[in-house]
Amino acid sequence: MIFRWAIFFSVFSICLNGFTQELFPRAEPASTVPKGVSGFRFFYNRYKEQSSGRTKEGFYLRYMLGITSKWTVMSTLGISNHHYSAFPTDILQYFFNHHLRGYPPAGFQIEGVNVYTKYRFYTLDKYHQHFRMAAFAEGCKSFVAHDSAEPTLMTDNTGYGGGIIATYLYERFAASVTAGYIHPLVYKQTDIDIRFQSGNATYIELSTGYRVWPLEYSTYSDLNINLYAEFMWKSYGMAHLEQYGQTIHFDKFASSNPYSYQELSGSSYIDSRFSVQFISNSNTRIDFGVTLALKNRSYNYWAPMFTLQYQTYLYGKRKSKKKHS
Amino acid sequence: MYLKAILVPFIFLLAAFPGKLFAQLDTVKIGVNGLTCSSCSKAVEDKLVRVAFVKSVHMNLNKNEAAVIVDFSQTIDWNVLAKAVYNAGFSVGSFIVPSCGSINNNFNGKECSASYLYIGQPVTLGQEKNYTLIGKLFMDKKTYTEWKKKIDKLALVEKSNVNQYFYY
Repeated sequence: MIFRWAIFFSVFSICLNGFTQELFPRAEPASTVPKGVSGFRFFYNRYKEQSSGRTKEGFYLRYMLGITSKWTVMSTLGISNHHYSAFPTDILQYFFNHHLRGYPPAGFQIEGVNVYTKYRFYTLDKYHQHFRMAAFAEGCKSFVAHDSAEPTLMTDNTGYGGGIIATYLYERFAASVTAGYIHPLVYKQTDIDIRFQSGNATYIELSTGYRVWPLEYSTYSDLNINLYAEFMWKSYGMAHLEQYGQTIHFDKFASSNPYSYQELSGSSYIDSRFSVQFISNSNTRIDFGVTLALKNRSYNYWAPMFTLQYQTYLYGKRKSKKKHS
Repeated sequence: MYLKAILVPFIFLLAAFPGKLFAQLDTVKIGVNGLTCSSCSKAVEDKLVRVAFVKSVHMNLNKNEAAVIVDFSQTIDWNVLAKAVYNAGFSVGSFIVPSCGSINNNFNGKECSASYLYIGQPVTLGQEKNYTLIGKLFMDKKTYTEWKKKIDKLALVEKSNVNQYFYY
């Protein structure tokens, strides 16, 4: 049923593609933050872990800065109750049971810090249209024990990654494709002599959206309403777990603990995020979104995952000059 | 007596600081390429209005055209104004400045005609109210490439770094 709605929404958004923006809630566009301008984004996600009935939440605060007109740097701090700060002594019991109701839940803690940099290396600007390409690199230092094969640098895994973004804008239609790679580093825990490493991942994101209001601008204070449909295909390798120098092979748990086996095995999936965005005063934006699984699933969250974002740019004080709009 | 007391210092000030007392304002029109959203226009406006010789900016949010009120009593550098658009993350599509006739032949304290070199069609020479600037910063890449061929053919050297601009 969810899949049908996703298809309907995608077709609907493509049909209405005359009214689009590129301020994607999930993907980064190839466009960059203006030189010398900084901004903040707060984002929140929430989902119900269906196996335990618990609510999992993540709070993220991002600072963005335009170093030059083509080079943007941003840093994100994450706080969540997704993970333990360290694996408990009985590691196998943890992997088999931590998604179940009877297992003690993880509390809120600082999950990690992500640093992201993007450079726009190709720009073809025309009247009411552009095609831009950017390269990005990111790194993350995580303070929690990530426990699944799928790596993420926001902010579950310590690791690094990078990729290419291509964004096309025509009149009010925009689409963006991101191709990326993630290499997670080994998580080491000396007290129980554990080495855990998620698999490497590659992913492709396709983002589209459209502006439904206003049809014509009159002033900067016009409320903007934009809709977005974003899709991601992600493929990742199997996790590697080692204790006391011995590799723990997950295959032998495949029949007795299929969920844990799947969570630790390499796989691929397609998911989608549908968002509605409100922009006030041509600066402050609020996005509401829901992430759904389309094909297979991510074991890093349970669909549906609901997201809320708030973003604003700080342009700094101007000298006392008149401005009109 | 009182009138004299008021007028004498005023005339003195007028003679000493004519530019400061009477700003020579005129409009520059900049077509901005690569954007459609009002947030983007706002970023462009913010960069333009911070330029020292800019008095105010009016953005047409649908056409993405900036009407920039410039104070010609100050030192003008069109490259600085164009770069403000690029610093906001967008490009200049067209850059139209007042002609020498419009600004009474005074540009940066010298003869205006020394600052501009006409390379357009001869028929309109001397009748324009505005000059459309030609240069890498003042137009889209494709249009500039076409003009560059003409500039090279005429064996002209671009001197925008010393405030000499080509126009049509």
